[in-house]
Amino acid sequence: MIEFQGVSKWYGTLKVLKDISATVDKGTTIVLCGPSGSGKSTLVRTVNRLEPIQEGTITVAGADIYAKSVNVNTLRMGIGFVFQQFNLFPHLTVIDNVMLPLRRLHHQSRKEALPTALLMLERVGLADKAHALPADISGGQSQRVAIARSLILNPEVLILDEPTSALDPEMVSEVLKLLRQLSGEGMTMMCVTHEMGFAREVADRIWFLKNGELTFDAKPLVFFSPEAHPDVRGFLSAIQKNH
Amino acid sequence: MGYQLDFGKVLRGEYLDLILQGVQTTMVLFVLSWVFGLVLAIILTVVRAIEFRPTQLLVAAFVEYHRNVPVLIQLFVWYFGFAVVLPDGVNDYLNDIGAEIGYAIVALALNKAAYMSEDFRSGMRSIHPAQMEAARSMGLTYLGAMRWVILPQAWRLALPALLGQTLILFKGTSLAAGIGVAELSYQARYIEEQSFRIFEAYGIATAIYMLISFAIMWLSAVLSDRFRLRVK
Repeated sequence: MIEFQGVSKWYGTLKVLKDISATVDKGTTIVLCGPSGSGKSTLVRTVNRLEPIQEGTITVAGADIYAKSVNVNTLRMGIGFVFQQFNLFPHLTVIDNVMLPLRRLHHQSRKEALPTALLMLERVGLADKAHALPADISGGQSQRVAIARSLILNPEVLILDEPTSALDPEMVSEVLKLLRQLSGEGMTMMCVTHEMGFAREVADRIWFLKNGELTFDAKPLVFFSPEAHPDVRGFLSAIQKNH
Repeated sequence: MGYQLDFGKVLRGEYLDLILQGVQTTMVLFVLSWVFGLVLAIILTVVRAIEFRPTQLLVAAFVEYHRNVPVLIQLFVWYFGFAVVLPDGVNDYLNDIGAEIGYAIVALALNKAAYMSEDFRSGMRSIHPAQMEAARSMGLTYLGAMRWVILPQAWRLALPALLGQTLILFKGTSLAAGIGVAELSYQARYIEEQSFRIFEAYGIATAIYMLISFAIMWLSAVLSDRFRLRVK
């Protein structure tokens, strides 16, 4: 579904992604983890060209995303993206946020878009908040709306960049529950997160990044075992100390 | 001192007609300058937001001229200055259809556009860059993101300042008297000269300006509250 081949990226002289090659199979969930500054956010942001790369190729569904024939806006319509800070549009109600891609990208009328958007809100359990403004709902609810909005055009891939890091602890589980459900439905997902319980339970593979390098790519069973890369074991024990 | 106030003399017959015509002309100046100014301000805002240095500098120069030169001079530049570079035939035609009010609307609209575009710009600056990123990441073009995500927030954030500009514009229409537009101030002056009812003529003009200004202020308060953007 997604293939990275020799991907490198520099900010000026600083090399932030180093020759990354890896594959995301269709219908699988990849969890990316690693210390801050390791390049995991940058890596997921390259998939919809929010971050340009200087070397290597990235293909999504078989197409090179930098090919001349690929329109960046069409590419992005096929990739849902969820941010740490939700980034709901504060001037629009919840339902209008979810409907915006249908109305402005698929050019549907409000009436046409409404049933689809309501169904999507039901799916994330927030139909009763349809007419609330983003300022009037909680962080966990905001993130679920943001996920609904990112799914409304039926993307083939869902990318989540630390979706629970900005949430109060009691709201993390409601978002993880939704992601678990999506993963179970066969959504192809790449999720940057520090939630190791979620990674162990939901991920098909876990990628560990350090200093811009993909140093370890394994199934959870191996990732959490003593055979894991020493960097991974160091990282896991550091995380556990904080919990 | 022997001066007997007599408002009645100014508030009937020919003088009343002149006052009403003056109010009408003032409102035409105000509304048309506001509409054209706002449309141009939106265009200026978008052009300045696009990362292309030459057009950004052009907009900046436009804004600085209109903010740093007195409005009366701007009116003179259009009415006296611009007219001399036009062919006589064009000037004759313009004078037939009312050059004064036309030039006044152009000058006031351009001036207001400069100020309003700065208000929009400061409104836009207070929007987090992640909003643009989120809009682009769903597949909207740059202009689409502007149209549906950034500008709808920018105008709400800019609204209190824009309404302040609206009030300033309304009062500023009186400067058009300087190039002979027969709006309310011009008529008050004319009536005063004809009738020697100096206090009455300006008193009535003052009352009318205040009445409309208060209406604008009241509307501003209502609109600012109604469209306030709440960001967590």
